[in-house]
Amino acid sequence: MSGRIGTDEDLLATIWSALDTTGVWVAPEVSAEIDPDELSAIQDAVADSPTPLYLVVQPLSDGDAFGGEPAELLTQLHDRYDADGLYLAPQFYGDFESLNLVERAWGTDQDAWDAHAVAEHRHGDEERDIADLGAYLADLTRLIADGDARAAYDEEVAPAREAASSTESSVPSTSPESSSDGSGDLAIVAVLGVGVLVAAIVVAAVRRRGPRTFALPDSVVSQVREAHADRIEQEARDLVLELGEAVRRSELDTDHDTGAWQAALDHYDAATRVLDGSDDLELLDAVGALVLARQARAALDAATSGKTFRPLRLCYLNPLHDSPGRTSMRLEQDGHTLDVPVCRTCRSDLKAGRDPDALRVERRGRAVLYVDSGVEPWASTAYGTLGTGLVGALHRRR
Amino acid sequence: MPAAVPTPSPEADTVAGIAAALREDPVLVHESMGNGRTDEVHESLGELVDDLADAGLPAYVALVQTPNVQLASRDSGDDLLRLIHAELDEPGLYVVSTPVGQTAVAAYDVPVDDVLVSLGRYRAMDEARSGLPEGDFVSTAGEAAALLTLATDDDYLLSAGEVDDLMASGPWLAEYGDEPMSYELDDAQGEPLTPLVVAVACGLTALVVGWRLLRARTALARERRGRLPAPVDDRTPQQAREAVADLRREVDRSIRLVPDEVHGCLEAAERLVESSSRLDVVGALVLAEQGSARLRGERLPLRCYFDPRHGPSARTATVSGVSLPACTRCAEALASGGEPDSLTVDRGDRPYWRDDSIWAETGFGSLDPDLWRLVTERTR
Amino acid sequence: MSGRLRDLGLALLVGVLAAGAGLGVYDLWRDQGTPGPAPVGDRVRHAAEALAAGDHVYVAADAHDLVPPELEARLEDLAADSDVPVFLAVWEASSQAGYAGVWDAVSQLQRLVDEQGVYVLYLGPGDGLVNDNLDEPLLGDLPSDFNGDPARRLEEIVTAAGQTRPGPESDWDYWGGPGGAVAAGALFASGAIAAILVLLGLGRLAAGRRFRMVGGWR
Repeated sequence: MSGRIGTDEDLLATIWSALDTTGVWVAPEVSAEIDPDELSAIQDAVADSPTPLYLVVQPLSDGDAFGGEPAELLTQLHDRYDADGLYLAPQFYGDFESLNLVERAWGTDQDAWDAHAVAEHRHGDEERDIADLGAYLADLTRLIADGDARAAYDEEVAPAREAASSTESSVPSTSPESSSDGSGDLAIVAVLGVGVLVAAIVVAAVRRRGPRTFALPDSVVSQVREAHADRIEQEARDLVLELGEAVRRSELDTDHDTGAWQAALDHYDAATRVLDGSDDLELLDAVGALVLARQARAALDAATSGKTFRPLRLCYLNPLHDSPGRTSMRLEQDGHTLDVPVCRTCRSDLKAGRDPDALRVERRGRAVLYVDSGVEPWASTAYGTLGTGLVGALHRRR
Repeated sequence: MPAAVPTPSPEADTVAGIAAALREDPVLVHESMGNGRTDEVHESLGELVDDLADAGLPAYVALVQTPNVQLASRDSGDDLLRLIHAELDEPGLYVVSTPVGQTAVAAYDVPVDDVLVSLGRYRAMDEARSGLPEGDFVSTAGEAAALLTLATDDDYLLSAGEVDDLMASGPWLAEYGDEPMSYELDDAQGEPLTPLVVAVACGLTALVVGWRLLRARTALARERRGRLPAPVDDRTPQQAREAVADLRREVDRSIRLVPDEVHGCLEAAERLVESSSRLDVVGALVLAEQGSARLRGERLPLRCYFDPRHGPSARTATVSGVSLPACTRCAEALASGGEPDSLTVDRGDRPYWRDDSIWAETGFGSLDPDLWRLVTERTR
Repeated sequence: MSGRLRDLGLALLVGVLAAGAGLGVYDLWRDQGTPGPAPVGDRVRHAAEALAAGDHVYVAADAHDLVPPELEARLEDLAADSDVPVFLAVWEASSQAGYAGVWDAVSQLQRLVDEQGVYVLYLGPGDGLVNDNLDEPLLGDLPSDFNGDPARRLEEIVTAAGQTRPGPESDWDYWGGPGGAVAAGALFASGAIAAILVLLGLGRLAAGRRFRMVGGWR
């Protein structure tokens, strides 16, 4: 409607008089932008709308009674005249081409977002400037009135928007979701996991090593072994020397049991051969020499006293021990069981669960029983405790 | 319950009211324009106006809320200034500003070029703004102060130094800062139970590690203490002397021929018995014992390898794959996997058999019965 | 035996000291990370003083045209009826009044008044803020429309605030209660203990000693 606008009170009344009749108010300043047929199209759409629709096209300026805000104008209208419905007012920036649609709704959930998007898509350019205000408003109101704004949006606007966004450089759609929190939690979990892993490794290492048993240093062990071997070798040599003299003295006597005498000579011979084998004998060889010498001594005693020679029964675990009792003991070793004679000390040690003073050698850092050492002919014959003749085995070997 | 509030003095929101206030006090600053320190701003602007008055230049400053009057939208400050002057009708320099308008300045009937003053103000504002951190700015009060200062300046220009001095001279800068939101403060506080977690974690860790370290320290101390010479030590020198003396008597009294070994043992023992070294004294005892045994033709007695002072060997104990003679106590210790109570070297905690001595080589005769020979060879 | 008891006592003492030290460090770190408050201007201060003294509505001297005394009294009565505390401050909008923005002003009011409730700041038509600082989310809708007639809008807001209820106190705890907190502390401790002992052993190895220390756990 034309005519000078007075105070804002008058303005509100003037606007309302138009809204009340047609539901559309176009300020005189803007009326040039809207053709009469467009205007009637708008008015028809507003009339057809199921929700009460009010369109206010009024340019405002900063410092006016509404502070330049269409929202203020629409609210004051609603305050004054109490008419619920969907109110629309374009906010103009400068000219009538760049605008922002302001909407307020009272008593209805209807909104103009989809309709505005479609209408803007139809009549706006890339910079969102609306060339034809009238056509835009006509489409806007028609879409709201018909209620097919959503469908039109899906049809027309969504594909274009998708195409536009896919051609744009890809924007990371997933926001860095509280990355600081996420990485902080991850760090905590990692530290904990490492801690548990380390603890597990430590426990496993401790378990495998077993409880800390007292162990002699390697130097001491080898020294003891060497001293042990030297002592036995010395004993063997002394005994063989003694035997040599005894044999020479006994040769004068012919009243001998030839079996025992022969055995004595054989054993003496074998002992000498072992001792002559080297200057510094290995432990098992030294033991072998001593065992042979002792058997030779026993045989010689048997011969001189006219008895039959029975080879000395030796302790299976250590042939240098005292002679074993008559009953054998069942020993389990590496899966197979044996009935072997053991001396009293070893028997009591085994019964008490202690480690017996067995004859052991070092193989690969561990101490193994001589029968498992593979040193022949001592290991397989167990120095004669298992029945096979030691001398015979020795001859076969040498 | 609402407290008794005195009726607040309504701030002038009409032109007439503003003019009336200015008649009373040429500086009018409303709380909405007070830069957060309205009284200070009022006082400082008052001083500046007094300075101008002393120089013969009346001035009126109105930093007020938007009054209830229609103002031109573009030049609301200028418009309001004209209205105020029209109402007040006094000559002078007028400085007027509202929350929404520009700060306006005009001179009425006074020898001040308000245009140049206004231009000088813009340059001064640019200068002052350039040095400020992000978010801070020069308040309207500061702008008013600049205008007042420029009014008496000869060339209506303030140098950089003068601008800095001006800004520092009163409450002119708007440094409002960022107030954190209540949820930001809550977030920064953290979870209410986190202190408990921290306390438990730190306390438990310190407790367990501390316990372990303390046990290690105790064990170390116990080991050291365990090596202290037992009362046994007191008797060994005496025993050795007695054994050596007995052997000497036996040898001297002997009718039969005394073998060389016996002499060897006796001589070696006599040489060692008065030694200051504890090991030598033990060696003397062992040698005397061996000498007696050889004299009587008995088997050589074997003493405990680990500590010969423990007495004769009870059993052959196996340790680390070798067999060694040991007394009952040491044998039991070995059987349970522990370390037997060994004879230590003279200075230190090491067992004698770890050392590099003749005693370690021979085990005090338990390894090598020809102890006397080796001792004699070494000492020669 | 006394040695073990003494060691236990010492270890407990060390544990307590370490817990105290840990708490101190945590407190310091927390304070460092807490953003500091902004300086409070006189506009916000006057409002906060009035609201903290028991008023529910504060109208600055320049806002009497927006909220005249009768409206102020009406709003005061409406606010007094509310279960959830409602605080309303009205003054004319300005960028020169000692606060950076409307959110800063409301946050400062909340900090100074130090009460949980709904805070409403009205600065003129279309300009205002409604914000609550309750621990639990509020049940009920609060309009935040400040356009149009101040009397109607403010009455709507204050009435709506009066009809809200504080949400149910959630017993959700990040650590899952004191038991969960202790368990979490123990879990962290186990990791730290293992790491420290391994580091000690490695250090000993580097110094030429055995990896494990003498003594045991008993």
